[in-house]
Amino acid sequence: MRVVVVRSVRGGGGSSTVAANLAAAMQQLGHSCLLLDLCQSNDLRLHASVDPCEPDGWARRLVADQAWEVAVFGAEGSCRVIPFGELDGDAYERFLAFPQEALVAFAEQVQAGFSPAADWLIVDAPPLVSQHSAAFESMLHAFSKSASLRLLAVPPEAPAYTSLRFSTRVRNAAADYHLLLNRAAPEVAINRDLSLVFRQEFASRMVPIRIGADSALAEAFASLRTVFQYSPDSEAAREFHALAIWCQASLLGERS
Amino acid sequence: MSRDTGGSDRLVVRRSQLSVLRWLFKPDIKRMFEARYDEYRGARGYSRIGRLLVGAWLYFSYCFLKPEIFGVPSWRLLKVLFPHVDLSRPRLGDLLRMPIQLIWLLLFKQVSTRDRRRIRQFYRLADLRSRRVLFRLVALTRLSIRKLQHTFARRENSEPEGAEPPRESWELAGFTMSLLLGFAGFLAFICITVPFSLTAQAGFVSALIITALILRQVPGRYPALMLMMLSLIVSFRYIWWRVSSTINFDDTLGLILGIILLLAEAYAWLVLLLGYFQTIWPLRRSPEKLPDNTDEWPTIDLMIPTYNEELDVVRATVLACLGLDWPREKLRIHILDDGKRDSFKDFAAEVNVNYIRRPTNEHAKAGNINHALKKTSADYVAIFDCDHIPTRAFFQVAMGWFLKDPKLALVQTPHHFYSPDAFERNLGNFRKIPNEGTLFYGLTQDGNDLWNAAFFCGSCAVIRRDALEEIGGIAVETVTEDAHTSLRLHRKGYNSAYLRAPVSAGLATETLSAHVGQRIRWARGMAQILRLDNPLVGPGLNWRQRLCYFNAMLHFLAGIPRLVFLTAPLAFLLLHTYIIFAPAALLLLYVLPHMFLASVVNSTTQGKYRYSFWGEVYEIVLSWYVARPTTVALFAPDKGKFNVTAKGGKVENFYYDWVISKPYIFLILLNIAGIIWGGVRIAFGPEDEVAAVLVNLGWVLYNLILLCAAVAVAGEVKQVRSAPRVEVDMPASIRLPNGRAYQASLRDFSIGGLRIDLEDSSVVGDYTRLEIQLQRANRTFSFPARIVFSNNQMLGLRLEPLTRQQKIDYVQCTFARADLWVRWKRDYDIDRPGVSFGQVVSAAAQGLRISLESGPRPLPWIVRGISFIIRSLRSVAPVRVEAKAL
Repeated sequence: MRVVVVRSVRGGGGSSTVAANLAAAMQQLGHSCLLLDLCQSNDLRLHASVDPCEPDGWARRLVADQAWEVAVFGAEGSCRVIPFGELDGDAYERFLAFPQEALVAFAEQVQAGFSPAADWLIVDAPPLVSQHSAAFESMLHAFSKSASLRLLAVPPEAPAYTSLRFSTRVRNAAADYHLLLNRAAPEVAINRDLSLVFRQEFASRMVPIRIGADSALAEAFASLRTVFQYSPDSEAAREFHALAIWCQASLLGERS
Repeated sequence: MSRDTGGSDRLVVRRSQLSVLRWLFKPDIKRMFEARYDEYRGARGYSRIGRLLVGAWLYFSYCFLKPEIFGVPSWRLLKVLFPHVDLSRPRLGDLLRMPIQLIWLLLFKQVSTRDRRRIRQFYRLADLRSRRVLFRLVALTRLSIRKLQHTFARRENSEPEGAEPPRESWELAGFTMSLLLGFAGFLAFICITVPFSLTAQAGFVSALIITALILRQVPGRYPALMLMMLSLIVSFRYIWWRVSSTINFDDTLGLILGIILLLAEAYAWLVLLLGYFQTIWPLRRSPEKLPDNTDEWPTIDLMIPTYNEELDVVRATVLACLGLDWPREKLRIHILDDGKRDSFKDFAAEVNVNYIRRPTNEHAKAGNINHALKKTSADYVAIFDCDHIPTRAFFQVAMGWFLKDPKLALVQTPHHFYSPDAFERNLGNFRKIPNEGTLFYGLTQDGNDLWNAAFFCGSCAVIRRDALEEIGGIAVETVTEDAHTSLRLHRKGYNSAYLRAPVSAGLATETLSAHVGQRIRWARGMAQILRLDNPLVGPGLNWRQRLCYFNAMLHFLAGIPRLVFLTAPLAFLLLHTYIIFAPAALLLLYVLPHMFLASVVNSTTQGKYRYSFWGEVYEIVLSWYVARPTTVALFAPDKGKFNVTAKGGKVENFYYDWVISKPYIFLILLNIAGIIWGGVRIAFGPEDEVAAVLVNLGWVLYNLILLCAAVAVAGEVKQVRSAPRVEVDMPASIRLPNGRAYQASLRDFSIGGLRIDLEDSSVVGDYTRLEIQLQRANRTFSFPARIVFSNNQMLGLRLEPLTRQQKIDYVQCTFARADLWVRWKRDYDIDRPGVSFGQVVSAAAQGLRISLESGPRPLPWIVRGISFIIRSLRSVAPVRVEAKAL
């Protein structure tokens, strides 16, 4: 199983949109995909048609000391998703205090795979700027260490750029990530210019495909679907298709 | 919305027409009948008889037929069996059509499309198999040739690569080589001069032809060289025979005409010979890399001379130049306006390029550039006609060789045209058949380049300034200043280079008269150079350059010889004089192999650049018009002025260019008279002349086909838009005001608008404006546009006013894309002479029809009558039926 970790620099960078639609594109190419949500906001499941009222998720199961394998959702023909789960105040406290070994063990279990086997595991991880407990960090590290591809969804906007450029911590954390321009809007001058700046400064790490600003993505999310189901002839669908092919091609020759 | 209203309309009609059904059937059966009745409706609705007929049939099939016959629902049977008959509105002809179709259906098994494809595939397989047999035959040849190639390749590798073509190899030839050459020359001399009997000649040429046919199957350049040798032997032999034993000394008229024909043939033979020499080994030079440090890149003055062209045409070029990939401070763009127009001055100021206007207008374009040379100072001068749009990579491709070779004074690149020229538009074969220029820019210039004789073509070229100033600027003595300039550069010992990459694209001449006008200018100019600065004499050139230049000039003198060929058989048929004094069979044995091998060689070497027989059509169109000016220029080279080629206009309606085609109509009439008189002579003339008459009739017929094809070019097809569109297939996307973006593909573009294909254009809804996003070099650019028209898959867009930078970006994303024209060039297939002749014949038929239709009064009626009869006969003919069991 190949692991792709998707993050963004700051909150709202679009990492869950990228993760969910990339998985859908992979699925269209004939690979079975597994989505894993590591974000507390628990958004990823909404892209995969999971009922918004459904509180289940791996963190919730772990805290309740149950098997997380039960918290896998999936529909015919679309990819499976493991939501984070809804944690109320008390459960969240307990999650924060969760021992490091248990979380790392969870990461290893997920990556060890389960049946039916998935070709790709796409992990939606929390933004780079957010702070986490040491235990959570080491779990993130476990995922990102074994990941064959690490994508950083970057909107060509000033906040993302300043964090990446001037915050040492973020810069170090982003060092081995590929940058994927998300929500590029060539008709907006500042957006276009920052795209160029990103391409210039991070030339070696840029993904050659960019995801344009397309409200089809937002509409698809609002209707609990991926863009492939919602509007297959939208530009975003084509871009994610290209992104999936690029992911495949860039890992060509690497052993899964 | 529209679909709904259409439906309710139909509902009303149905109620009134089929009200009787309400009394007869239950509602669901009635609905079924209505649906079936609807399916039989033709484009023009039901007539009274049709209503009766279809109603009766539906009722009959419902009552008496089983539900399915031949795998078709039985009620549809009439529609399936008689697809060419509109049953809802039967006509009188259908009384004939239906029985014929019925008989045909009874007698012949119907083949579905899938089976047909299988048959075609079967044929292809057979074709392949026969090729395979042939392959075995030539395997041995192939092997030996490969060995030869290996030895040559080893020699070639040892030669230094560089700007200097490998011409030393000739001098390096040692004693054995010269001995071999002498021996081969002796053999060739024998082959050429020994007179043969009829049978011996037949054996000799058939051996050569079989060898040629086998050699033709072997790919590569060495087989082509051997083919050239065979062709040369046969052609030399032919000319030798013609000179030595076919001149008619008994009859003065025959002698004079015979010598004229012989001279024309000698000319054609010389051109063939020089053509072989020119294209013997096309250099195929590849671009040289520039240094990494841009500080070492030279400065360039880019000049865009213009005189009377529209601003729109010039605008695209200037915008593309602004986007050229070259350091900003090292590229200076100048508009050289000879038309003294303030609109150009304003435009130049608006986009921040230099504007040069001169007080006088002498020496047209050459004078314009020379004036600008005095006012500029960069190391290199790039010249672009105002309608040639450079792609972004132009200088990257063109400049490398200058830095490598300090004696290099000129780099020429091809003139690629994105709009159809007069030939292509009028014959409707744009991008299907290589046009006139393809041979020159695809092969001839590359061949010239081997001999360091690639010459300047007036545009899309870069010249070293000090070299240009050394020869006193662009030459002004002739009307083809370009070729003359490069001739002078070569005389001063400078080198030239030709890069075949299509790194710019331009507008082709619009109308046939403009095209002819342009060629007249070239022909006159070349003839002038031949007189004023003959490349065969004078200092500075080596013999190979002399031959290349001489051939280029000779090529334009083709007018009179071509006219001689077109009329020569008439001398025998109408004037009854033997201009070739030889028996018909022997003549055929000499002339056919000569022509056949020449066309085999040309088809092998020029296959991708010029299809067989089309060269002759191109030449015929020009011959009459080129004949006079070249002759005048040869005798009085100082006469003649520069006429500007008009481009970018539009042809309002279809019209027939009588003025242009008049001489050819005359020739056609003459040839038809020849055919008639020839027929009379076969019927009533002496017995022993029949063979000669038949040979001449064949010749006349061939001429007639070429003439008719030439005449077809004179029917000018209507051109709607004044800004020519470029057809492409590129990904693009649109973005609607609601933030949604959709994938689209770009179908064509012009400077002001585009046409795109969408999966489903209804997504656009009521919006009238959108953003069109185009990509270039992985960057996306967005341009506001307004929807001009739309149908279910296509949107026509007009660009909204753009900013300066947006305009540059737009031209960069469309016209100036570096990859666009390269892909385009690959579309042509290799020449297949049979297919090519078929194309010429169909063009000839078209030409005949057009000229008759626009002829004097009774002719159009006759044509219309004949085509009506053909059409009606064709409509009666049976039609293939798609049904399983039939």
